[in-house]
Amino acid sequence: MKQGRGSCRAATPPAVLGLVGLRAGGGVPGSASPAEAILSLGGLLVLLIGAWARGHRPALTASWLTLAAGAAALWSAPVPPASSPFFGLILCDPFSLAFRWLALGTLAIVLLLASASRELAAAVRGECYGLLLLLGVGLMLMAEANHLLMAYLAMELVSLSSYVLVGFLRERRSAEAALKYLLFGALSSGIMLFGMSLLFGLTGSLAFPDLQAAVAGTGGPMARALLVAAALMLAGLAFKISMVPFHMWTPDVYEGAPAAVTALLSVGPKAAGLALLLRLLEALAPLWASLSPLLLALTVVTMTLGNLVALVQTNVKRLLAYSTIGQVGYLLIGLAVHTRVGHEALLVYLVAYLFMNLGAFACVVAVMNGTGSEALEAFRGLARRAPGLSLAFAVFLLSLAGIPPLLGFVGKFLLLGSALDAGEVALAVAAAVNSAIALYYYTNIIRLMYFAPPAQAEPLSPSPSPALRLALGSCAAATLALGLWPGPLLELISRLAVVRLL
Amino acid sequence: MTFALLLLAAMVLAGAVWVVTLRNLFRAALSLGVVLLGVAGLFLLLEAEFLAFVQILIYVGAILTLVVFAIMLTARLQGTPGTAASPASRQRVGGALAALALFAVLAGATQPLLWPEAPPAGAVPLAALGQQLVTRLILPFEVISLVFVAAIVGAIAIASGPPGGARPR
Repeated sequence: MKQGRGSCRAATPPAVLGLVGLRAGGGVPGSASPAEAILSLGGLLVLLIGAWARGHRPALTASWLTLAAGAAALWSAPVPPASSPFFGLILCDPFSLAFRWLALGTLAIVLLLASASRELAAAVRGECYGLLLLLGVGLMLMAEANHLLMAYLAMELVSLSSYVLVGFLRERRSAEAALKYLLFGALSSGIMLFGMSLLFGLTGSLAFPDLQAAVAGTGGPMARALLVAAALMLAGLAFKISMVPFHMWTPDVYEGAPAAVTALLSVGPKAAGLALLLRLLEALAPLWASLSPLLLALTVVTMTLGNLVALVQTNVKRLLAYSTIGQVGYLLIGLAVHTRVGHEALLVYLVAYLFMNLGAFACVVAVMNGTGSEALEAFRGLARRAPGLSLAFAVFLLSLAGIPPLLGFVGKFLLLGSALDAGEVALAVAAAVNSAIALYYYTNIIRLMYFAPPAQAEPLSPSPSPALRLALGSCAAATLALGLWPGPLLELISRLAVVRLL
Repeated sequence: MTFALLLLAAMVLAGAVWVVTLRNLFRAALSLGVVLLGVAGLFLLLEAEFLAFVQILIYVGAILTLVVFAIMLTARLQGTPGTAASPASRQRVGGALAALALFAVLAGATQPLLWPEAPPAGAVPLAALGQQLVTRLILPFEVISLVFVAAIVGAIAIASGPPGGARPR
């Protein structure tokens, strides 16, 4: 990372520089992250098209073009080991590149779901697609943020877009979910800002590398205050990834939101939040000895609570909400062990989680399109009404449960391995016990689909639309193929996972 | 100096308590104005004149006006203003305990600290602030505009009716 102060303008008062803790250096603004720029411009354009064009097709086409252009920009951009453009506000390293691809993948599948969803058909879908793209920009920036100001703004971009998307249905339930999400979100943002301001007061900087240096040199009462600041800040992020003391909003919001938006919420912000958490913890690494017991305990509590409460759910969206909390618990293992192996396992599991969870939600959208119901009962005897759909759902559920040879197994195996590797046997045992609990409610759905008599005998109608088939097919193919031949994926991720995150 | 600080702090605290306890929504909004003015005063005490000015201009001048408008326009939907906002009384004890605990933790953590003497910074010229905003801080500046677009378009999309349909109540 360049640290030269040569480009610092002579006229700039140092007080302002010190205030925001910026470092000089880096490249020319604008040359750095074309993918984000393309997505932002495309998102704004889609909003305009959505407002003026008739129907949602033009906006959808523009969204796909934007996504394709974004992917092309991300693919063709050279990846230096690490560069921090925009005066060190963001950091483009292989680690953030992985998360930018994850964000793009999530967007693509969610776009398929949103365009195929029947419950969203009455909503203003052009605006929905535009907000999705803007949310994607926020997800990417969250993973790249190298400065508390940037991290906060990226989180707010993601949060505000998701509040709106959650309330997109013209139903009381959807509006209530959006309001709950907004209130919880505002509260947690406030707590996080409190922690950030305290941290800034203690260290005098907002940039992650400077924070790390400043935190390393403190002791005594200063260290205690730092710990309080860190805890407050982590609370805000814990809300985003629905880690346990801050998970209460998850089931209600997931139930009220349109299924396509729920799919997005269960993957996108979770991945980006984990990336930001990982970087933030790296900046606070000197405090790791005091933070790690807390994190380990919360990891175990998160997965146990999510899986236990999921056992008694009767609504499939609520069930998947608690399952998400449980899965976040598994993902946190990779963070809590704080090793390179853990980071790699986290990335692998995130890829697996993206495909299997979005695939599961694609099945939910298909069943809701056909039956209009989101109760578990709607899945009764589904295998006789829609055999292909049932098979795909079974694959996703078994992968979520971590059954070989599916991709979920590979990820979970690596996570457990990283826990054992770091000597956290209790953590590995807790995760294994939780997998057994989770197997019960996942296989319960499979039992309903295959061994329970259907309420109606006729095939599910309408059968999944081409967009939905594409989403289901690609997720199922990835879950199966990458599970059988994980070699290339693991090799790719071992190149992307880095130890130095700052 | 200390007297002014105490006065402003009392003003902010009293206003904040009124905001959450007053049953009349309109009066609660006016108390919010007291809080915002008090915060502006605190900024002045900290020699952040620009922030104090912006605080009054934006929060008191624009946002509070919007809040008052919103309350006046929706008063009919909420029934009589006297009964509109009843604070949740069930969790009063729990909430108070949580707030006290948070205060104790924060005070306990920050009280023993010896803050370093702030260097005499002098006033930050506005032109320099503006320059920073379009050079070093250009990325956050742009992202904020995205946040606002998302919020405004989203608010309109939710508030307006479905395309061609009637608006449900």
